[in-house]
Amino acid sequence: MKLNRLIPLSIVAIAASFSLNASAQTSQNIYAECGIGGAIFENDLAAAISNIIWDLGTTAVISGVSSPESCGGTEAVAATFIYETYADLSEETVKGDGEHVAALLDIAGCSSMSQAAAISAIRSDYASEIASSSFAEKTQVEKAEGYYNIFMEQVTGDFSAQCNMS
Amino acid sequence: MSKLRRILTALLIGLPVMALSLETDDLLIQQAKASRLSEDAQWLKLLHYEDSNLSATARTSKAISKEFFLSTEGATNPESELEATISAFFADPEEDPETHAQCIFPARFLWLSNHLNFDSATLPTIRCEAFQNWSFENSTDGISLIFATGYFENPASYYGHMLLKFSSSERGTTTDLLDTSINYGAIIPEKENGLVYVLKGLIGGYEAGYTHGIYYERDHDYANIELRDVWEYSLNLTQEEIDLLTAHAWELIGTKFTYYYLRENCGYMVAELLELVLDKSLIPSETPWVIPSAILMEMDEYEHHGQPLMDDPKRHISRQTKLHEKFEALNSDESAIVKQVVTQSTFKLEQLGYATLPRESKIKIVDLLFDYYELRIQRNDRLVDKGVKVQLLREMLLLTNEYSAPEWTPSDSPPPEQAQRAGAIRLGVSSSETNLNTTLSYRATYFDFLSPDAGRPKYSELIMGQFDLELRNNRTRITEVDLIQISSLGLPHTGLPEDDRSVWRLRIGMDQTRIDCDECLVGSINGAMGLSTLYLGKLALFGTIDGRFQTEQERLGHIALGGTVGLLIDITPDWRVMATVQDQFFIDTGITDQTHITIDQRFGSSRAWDIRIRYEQQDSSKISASVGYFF
Repeated sequence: MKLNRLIPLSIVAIAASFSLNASAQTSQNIYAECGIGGAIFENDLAAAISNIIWDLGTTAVISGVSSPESCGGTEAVAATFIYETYADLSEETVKGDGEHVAALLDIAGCSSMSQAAAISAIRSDYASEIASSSFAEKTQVEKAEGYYNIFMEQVTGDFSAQCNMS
Repeated sequence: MSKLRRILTALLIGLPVMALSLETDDLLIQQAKASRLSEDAQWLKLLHYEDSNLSATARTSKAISKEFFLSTEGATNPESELEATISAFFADPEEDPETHAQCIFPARFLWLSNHLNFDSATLPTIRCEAFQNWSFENSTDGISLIFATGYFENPASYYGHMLLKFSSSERGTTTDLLDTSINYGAIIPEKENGLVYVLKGLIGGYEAGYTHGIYYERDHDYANIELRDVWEYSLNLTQEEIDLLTAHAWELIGTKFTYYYLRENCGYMVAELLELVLDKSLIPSETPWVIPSAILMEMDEYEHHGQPLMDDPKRHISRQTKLHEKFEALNSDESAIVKQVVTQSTFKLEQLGYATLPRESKIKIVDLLFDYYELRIQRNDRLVDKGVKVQLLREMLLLTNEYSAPEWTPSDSPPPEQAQRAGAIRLGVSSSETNLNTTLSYRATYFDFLSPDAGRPKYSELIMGQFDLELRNNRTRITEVDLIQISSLGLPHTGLPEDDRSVWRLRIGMDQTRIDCDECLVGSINGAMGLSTLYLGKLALFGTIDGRFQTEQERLGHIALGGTVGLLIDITPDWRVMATVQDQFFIDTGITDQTHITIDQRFGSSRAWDIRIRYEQQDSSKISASVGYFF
């Protein structure tokens, strides 16, 4: 008897992404390609409105984000994480330490020994990013994209040997 | 060899194998029948069967998804489902292995392979990639219970929420933000009407299910959006138990159940999931309803394999709690500068004595302002606040160029399992100017202003289903009914702009219009809004404007406006006092009611009992004393 079990794409995406050794596809436009910020913002907004009014924490939210297969990898997980936790990430980055920055480097498969140096390098680049006078006017997606680019440059560049993102 | 001979040869070899396979299936089914495996408690729990009210042996599964069953009778016949499951495990794999029963039901597979002798020579070998990835390549070795405290902004979350978190130490991750969370909740359409939402939630009008995600999503929601503190409890389970629970959680993802807010809610379903590997039930039997904190208290007292089921909790505080705790920790110079900084028209740190502060003080201030401005951004999304946040980020970069900022450690706080239980019975006496009476009170749930704080929103109360009786002159009379009474003093707050939450109150029930009367009970709806402040971190002062509608005039009127002032203070941890003075004016009759004064005191902070004394004055005065038992 054939058993048809529909597993939502998001679940497959999450499941696949949690092999930290998964091969990643690079993309300069991951936020646009995967609808992060667009689709997620829409879901967050709609979900946040209904959830804050009614049921956040008790409701089963069935994620229905539809995205290309390239969005099931580690890069998409990192990009989503950056977008959703940007406030905590930015604060921890300037302080040089914190569980969200550590989690992001875990997503990239960076060894624990290398994380302090990687955070320091990201912090240095982030300092240049936020020095711009127009930074405050950027949208949430633009800020997340900027952080993502800094992060990817480090984990696929100077720290490529200690991480597993490329 | 001729083609026909080749075919015959293959058949001769293949037929016994096929026969052996069929025989293996049948043999295992016979073995299962002989050992009455379908009546095993764990098999029944795996299929979520419950006893039928109509028959001692009839069973019905609480799962309502057809896909959860392999037999057409599976929902009501454990034996039929077990036989179908065994057969399905030996079925030839399809093109997509993920559709094979071994991949969809790994817990049943694990359990049955432990109870029956599966022949590896005939059992199809299936690689279940999705489950392997989901369970961290079968290396899940930790399960935690997550309890989020009650959330007064959302009626469905008044009683808190529970979920499970699965982790693996072999992953080598440095935080638990990337663990897997399993959550049970109702599936609610967007923009559902409030009244429909309440009614359908109560009568089983919604489907519900388990969903999963990466834990950081939950952490982010609670810490930054709903602003709820979270308590995490590691569970002491064996690896075999963790394996079975992990596999069963996978089976349940996407399976639907019927949601009942009062009973088969998140607490009940998390408990039922964990009961798969426990000998005793975690669901209290004293009440027909189930609230998450009651499950937590049961788990706190549960011994498993000779040790506590739960470890001591870790507390994860919300951004709002962080703001309040960080503000409390500032010295007077630091807090003065913070107040000046946030009230100036143009944000500039250097102008106000900040420059002369030591580096450690500057870091504390900027770190606090991170939380303060981020909360403002969450509420109002203003560009000016985002601009300030960027300036603060730049400032922190300068401050920590050669030094690291210390990590904030939350203050000690009693965990929710140490709270008083939700139900209460009180027995006491009351003495008015004319009578000495016996009093009896029953409360279904949950806590009031006098209850000790433990894992609950402070300076708040939530009462549902409270009935007060008085035995006087050989007659038993109802003196008060609270269908619902929910209040918040909006404390603590820093008093900084936009962090001064208001006082609010809603009460629907019945009460007496005078202290000393035989027949003056009226139905009423009462509301209030106001302001509050916390003095020296201990004395809460509040004032409200009140509105009231009552069903009978009782020589007063129907509609009243008024005001209340009050205080709340812990004189010692075991002695709390709350006093209120209220006046009201009935606008439909022009009658001013007499001033109503109450002074309530609670002695003792045990989970199971307390002593209360009340003084009340209006048309007459009354003193009452009672002993309460919590269950």
